[in-house]
Amino acid sequence: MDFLNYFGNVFTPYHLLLLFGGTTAGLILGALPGLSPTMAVALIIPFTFHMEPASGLILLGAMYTATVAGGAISAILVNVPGAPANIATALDGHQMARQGRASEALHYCFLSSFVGGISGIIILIFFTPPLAELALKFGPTELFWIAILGITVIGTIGSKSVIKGLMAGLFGLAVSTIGDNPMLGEQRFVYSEHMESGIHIVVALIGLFALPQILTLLEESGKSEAGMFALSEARWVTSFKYNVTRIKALAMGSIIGAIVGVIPGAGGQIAGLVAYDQIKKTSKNPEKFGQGEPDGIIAAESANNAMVGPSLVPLLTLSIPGSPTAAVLLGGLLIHGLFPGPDLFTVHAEVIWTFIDSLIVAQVFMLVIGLFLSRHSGWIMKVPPHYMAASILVLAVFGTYSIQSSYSDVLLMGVLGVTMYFASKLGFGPAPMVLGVILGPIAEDNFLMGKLIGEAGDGALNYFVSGPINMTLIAATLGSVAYSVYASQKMKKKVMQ
Amino acid sequence: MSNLRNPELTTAFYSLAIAGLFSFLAFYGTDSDIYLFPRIIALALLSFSIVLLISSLQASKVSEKSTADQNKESNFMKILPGLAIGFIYLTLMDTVGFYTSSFFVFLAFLMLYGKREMTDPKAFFKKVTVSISFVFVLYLLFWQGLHVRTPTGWIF
Repeated sequence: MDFLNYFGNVFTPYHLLLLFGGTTAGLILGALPGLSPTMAVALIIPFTFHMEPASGLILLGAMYTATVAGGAISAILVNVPGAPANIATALDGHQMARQGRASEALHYCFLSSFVGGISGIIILIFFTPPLAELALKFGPTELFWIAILGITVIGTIGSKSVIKGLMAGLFGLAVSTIGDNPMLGEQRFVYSEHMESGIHIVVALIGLFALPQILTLLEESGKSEAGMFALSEARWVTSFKYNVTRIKALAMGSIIGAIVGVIPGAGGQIAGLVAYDQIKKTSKNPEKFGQGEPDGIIAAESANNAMVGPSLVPLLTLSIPGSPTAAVLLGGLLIHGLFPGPDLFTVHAEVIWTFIDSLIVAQVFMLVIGLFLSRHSGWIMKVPPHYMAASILVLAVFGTYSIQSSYSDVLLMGVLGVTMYFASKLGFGPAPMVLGVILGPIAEDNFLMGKLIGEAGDGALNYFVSGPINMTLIAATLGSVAYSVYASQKMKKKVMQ
Repeated sequence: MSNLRNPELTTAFYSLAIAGLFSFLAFYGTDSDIYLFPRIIALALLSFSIVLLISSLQASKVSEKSTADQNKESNFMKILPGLAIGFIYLTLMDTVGFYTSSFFVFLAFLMLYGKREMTDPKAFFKKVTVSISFVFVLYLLFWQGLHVRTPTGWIF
């Protein structure tokens, strides 16, 4: 019951203010159509750099929690999901809005998000420490394979094209090799003074996530606005009373969300859609789904929020993110000197338990602020894309500069961002590339160390492929590739038919 | 990008070119110990690029350009002014100063991408007010609150 020991740390005025600010900003940013939750969390990371690690993580955790729930606002009001996780919510949520029940739909959304979110955090609290102990058995080769597995999983399961996902991860790894060789200290690929220090994680995070978003927003500017339905005068108490009777939808959503969350790379989109599909299949009135059935919203929203806590389980223990936003959160951990694994729960126990405990309080803030926004969120939909683009650009430049007071970082961020925008047009996603940049130094460090140890024994190759953990990790890496290839072939066949 | 006949094939060629360039940089005139890890990445990238090229060549025989690809195409002319503003911003920020250049870049985005005519004085006044307010809030939050010192340049 370690988590109870640090619960009091959350209730300082400063931390409560961060939770309030992070949740409000997360809900608003999540609700803005066209802004991804991953970008929102990436943009906030530099601001946490100047905070104590626990405070910084509290802000990031609150943002992560709230952006997932906030995406439902635009899904319901304008039928444009704020995040992929809210696709399933739009199916019935927008239909309810068309029937003049927009506020009621938003009430179901935030109440179910709260239930799902709390369930997910319970999984996080009880599953993370034992799994972290497993990481004690990891040597350099295991850590190398873990890094490769993390990139492979995000590159395959989390991407539309297996080969492009893997290549994006490799591009990220290539970018991470700019600068000093970790063992010999010699510089590599340094063709300008701006590249001497290599590419900082935050520079990559902001460049790869924020700048392409700015250009996409500019593309969208001037397009006719989506029709928005007015917020009605529904009472949240009435919605609450109805919501608590939908135990099946809540339980199904929470369980599916928790399971999907633990699977590395899966993310909220899959959780929401699977939960929606299952509740529809098991419903007595499946024909009502898609026509404004509250159970559809309840299952989808409890699932995508139940995913948040468990997506941190593989992240905090093995440095494998459960979702693209969790990959960004890994960058947040590393810039504060917190490396996933058993040390997190021993050396940094106070920081990490305070962070996990704060996620519970963040759920309460999300519920209260979300219910308030259920009647006052119409203005969010009216923010023009070019206003968002201008704000993100200035914040991205400031955030990048503030990390090391380096003008070179700003230029590198610009180059990476524009390159990523064009790469995204060719089908390459930013998440595997970011993970490549983040995990690249870990992979290379442990690869070189493993090679040295192996050469002193039975040979490097033998050292890298021996032992049950190495074999399991290699099998998991190959398995994730094989599964993704199989799934994409199956999908292609379906499309052809 | 919009005039290319087969986007998948184009992607494969771009990927191959980048993988080839990275391999050249990693292998040509470099020390094998220092560049060992980049060389492994380069080989993996080259292999995947070749696989992508082969699979897109096979796919191009089967199907024509898909609607999904069409949807992803960049509206380059629309983003060009934004790219130009961004480039000028990043180039001049260090010389002019962060807050001054941020004000101008913010205003430029609102002017160029706003719906109303640029000559409308009422709209112009509103955009200037929003830009000043945004930069002022940034100044209060970052310079005064977080004590982060951004480039001051000639002006501020």
